[in-house]
Amino acid sequence: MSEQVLKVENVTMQFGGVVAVDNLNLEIDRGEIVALIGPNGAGKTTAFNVVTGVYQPTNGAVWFQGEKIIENHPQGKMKALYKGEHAGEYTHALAPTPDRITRMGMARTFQNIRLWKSQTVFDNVLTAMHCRTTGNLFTATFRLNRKEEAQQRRRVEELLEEVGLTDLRNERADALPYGKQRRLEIARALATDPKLLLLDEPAAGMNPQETDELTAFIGEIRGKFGLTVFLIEHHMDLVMDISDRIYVLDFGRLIAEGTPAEIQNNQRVIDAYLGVAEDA
Amino acid sequence: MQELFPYLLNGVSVGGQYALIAIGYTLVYGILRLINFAHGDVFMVAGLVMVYATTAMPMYLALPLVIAATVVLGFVIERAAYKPLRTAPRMSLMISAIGVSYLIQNLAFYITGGVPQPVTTPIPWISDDILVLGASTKRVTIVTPILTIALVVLLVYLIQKTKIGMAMRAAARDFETAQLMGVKINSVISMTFVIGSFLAAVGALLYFTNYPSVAITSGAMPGLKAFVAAVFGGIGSIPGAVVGAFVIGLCEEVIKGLGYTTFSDAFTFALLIVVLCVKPTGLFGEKVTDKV
Amino acid sequence: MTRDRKKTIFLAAVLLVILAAGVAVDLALPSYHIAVKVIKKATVYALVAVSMNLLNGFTGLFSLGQAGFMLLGAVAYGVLTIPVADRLSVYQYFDGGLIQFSLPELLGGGTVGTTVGMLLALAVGGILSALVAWLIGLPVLRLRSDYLAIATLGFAEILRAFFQWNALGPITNASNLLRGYPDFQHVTSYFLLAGVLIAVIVLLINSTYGRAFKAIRDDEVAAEAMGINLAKHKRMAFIISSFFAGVGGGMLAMYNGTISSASFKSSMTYEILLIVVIGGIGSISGSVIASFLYIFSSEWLLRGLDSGSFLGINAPGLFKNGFRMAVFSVIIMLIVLFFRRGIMGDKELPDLLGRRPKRRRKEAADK
Repeated sequence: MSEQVLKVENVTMQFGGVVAVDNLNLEIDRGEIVALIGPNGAGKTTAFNVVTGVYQPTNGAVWFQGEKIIENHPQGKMKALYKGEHAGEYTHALAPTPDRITRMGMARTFQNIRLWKSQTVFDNVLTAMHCRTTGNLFTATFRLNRKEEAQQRRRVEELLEEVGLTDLRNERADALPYGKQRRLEIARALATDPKLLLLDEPAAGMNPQETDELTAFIGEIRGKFGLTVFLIEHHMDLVMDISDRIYVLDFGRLIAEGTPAEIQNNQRVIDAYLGVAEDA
Repeated sequence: MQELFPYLLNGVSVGGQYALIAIGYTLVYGILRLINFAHGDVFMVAGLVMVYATTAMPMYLALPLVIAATVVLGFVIERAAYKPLRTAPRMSLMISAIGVSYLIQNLAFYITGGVPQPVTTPIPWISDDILVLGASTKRVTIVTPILTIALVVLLVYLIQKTKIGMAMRAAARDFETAQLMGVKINSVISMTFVIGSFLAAVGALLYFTNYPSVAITSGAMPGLKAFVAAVFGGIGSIPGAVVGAFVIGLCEEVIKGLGYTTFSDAFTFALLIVVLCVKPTGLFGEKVTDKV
Repeated sequence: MTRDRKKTIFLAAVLLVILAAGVAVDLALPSYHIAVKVIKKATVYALVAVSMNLLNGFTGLFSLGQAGFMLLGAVAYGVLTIPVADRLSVYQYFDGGLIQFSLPELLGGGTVGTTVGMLLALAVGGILSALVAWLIGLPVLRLRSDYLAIATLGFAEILRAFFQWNALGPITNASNLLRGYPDFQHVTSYFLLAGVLIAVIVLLINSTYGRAFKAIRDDEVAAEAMGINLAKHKRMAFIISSFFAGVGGGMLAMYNGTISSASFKSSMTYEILLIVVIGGIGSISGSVIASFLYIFSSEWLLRGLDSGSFLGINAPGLFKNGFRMAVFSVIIMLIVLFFRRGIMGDKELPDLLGRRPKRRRKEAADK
């Protein structure tokens, strides 16, 4: 049996009266590429934000590499709303900040690119390695960690080579074209040394050729870095090409899961995307 | 209690004056999300103009002049120092406000020669000494809270019922959308500064009647305290600012009455920090959610 | 790499020239000369401005508590270095005060003992500031930008009230002056001390922690997603900045000769903030240059504007007391409004070297 990397268990995320994610369950095994798709506003990014610790779920738990990292099971009058075997159980809510989750080995990119714009390409990647430095403030300030620093710089060179940005290393991040910025974001995420990489619409705004390149690139890095990839995407070509499995969300609810072939022929998915008459 | 009564009386009066300044902060913050550091100095300028005008001309000319001059000053500050930075980061706007404050104080220093200007011709009637329940005070102490409440009621009416008031509310809720919907944002903002300055001028007339002189730094402390009052009441909320101002005025005077004058200012800021940490939206503030 | 080396050489040369200038001033001018005074003050301001830039420019935390931390450092310095024999006259309202020792004397006096004692007192001031920063950082740093500004400003005011409190008089001398403590005679000593401290800040900013600070400034959400602990790093920046502000406060006390708690007002913080803005938010060399420009012009070069004649123009009616600062603040407003990047933007002095080859390369490419 292959090892489980991520498990999302009965996760519900509610904002006021809006239920953005409704009782989501999913599992991802080591080495898989899994896609999360669904129409706009289906709650995909919200699901990402819960998994990465940006939001604390109103109910549910998240497991990462066999360890429970996030948990919240409200009780009292809210209890009735929530599902799962632990519903209503009084638990100590587990809510690590996003940075801790990243240090556990989960890195992400953003739908609306969030690079450190005024810094160079090189520095963007180098900065992301900060969370892996072993030195403290003193050794870092007085350059007693030269070895580590040199190592990190070499690693940045490698990563830039990998994503094909070596020539642009001294450019400002916001001076790059869109597709390159997305690649830089991936390089930056890889710099944190993740086991699981979450990509939020990595191909958004890319032309077909760039998308093809990206598809190949994602497959490539999975092998090279021993990654598990979880991605949100609208480009169906890309999704169908590289995903091992696909989860489909609609109005916060999981409506289908399966291999690309299964999803392509799933009536509920087709309805969700194309719309269906109310009385049908 | 008997000893504290004059302090309580004074507290209500000072509170009213803070309230008049605090509204200026709260209105501007509501729309521009800017702490207008120069507002306290506008208040000080109003005091200076009062000193000069009341000695140079009859009262019925001097008082309108004070108000008009202050309103023009507020308007000009917005146009010259804040409007060019409409699209700049908020930090630049705040720095500009600090710069304006610095400029006004230095200009005032140049004009006054750095000497506190004595209030020689106090405004008649409100400066008369009266007895309230056995405590001797000036009539302004009684007039201030009444006038403050009256002005606040008028202002709330203006904001709730008139077209410009509606535009102000729209701009405060969502600046960009209001602009897209055809609200003339620049005139709304100007109007905000005009109202704020008008109230600050009235506040200055009342405040400096109780003081022997106006110095160039006279505006800084009342300004900061009024801002704290606005935060305490929930920034953006007019009733909040008024309640906050009265609370701060009263507490401050009571602390003085108990003999801890050194800490009357510090108390205000301690209150601020506590409020910010416990309930950053203040007493009546709306909840602000940050979107990730 | 060669360009980096060139930059290093350039920087070293500039620093050497500055140091040489300091030595020259010490040799040529008596210590009461206005140039000496102005240079000392500017050096202290440079340190304080850089410490503020670390927080406001590099970490993106808009804090206005600088004067409070400086006050802490200043009072600590005074209290720890006033000679025991003078304490009765300084603390005349408090029977000579509670503290009956002085670090320079404890260390045996003499040149070495005094110097070490003074440095130690400065360090204590810095550490006290850092401690207080740690304490107030816990609640305050969670606040959003402008609330943080007003909370730190308010905190500085609280600190000022505290130091003026009579009950603490036996230690702080309440609202009376602290005086009679030792000072460094030479400009060079100021240069060396401030220079070393600023160098430490530069090293920090260029280290992995400095990069984390800049990441927080540029995009907090991204920084957090990349594993940077926001609370920890913000507090770190706040504490470090306060430490240097504390030491700077001690040096300012040294320069002034007396310490009065009442003078550490919010206007002092504003002044330092404006220096940072003039120099360029996010540029260390900018802050240093701006400090010197600011102090030189306000304390010395523009003096004529206050005393009747300036650049040969005689107009006592116009050029009277206060005109200098009025003109000065107009200039500052113009910078704030129209030259928002300041003198250096976010560039450093050695970066100016790198600019030329780049342009040349571009021209070559165009051909």
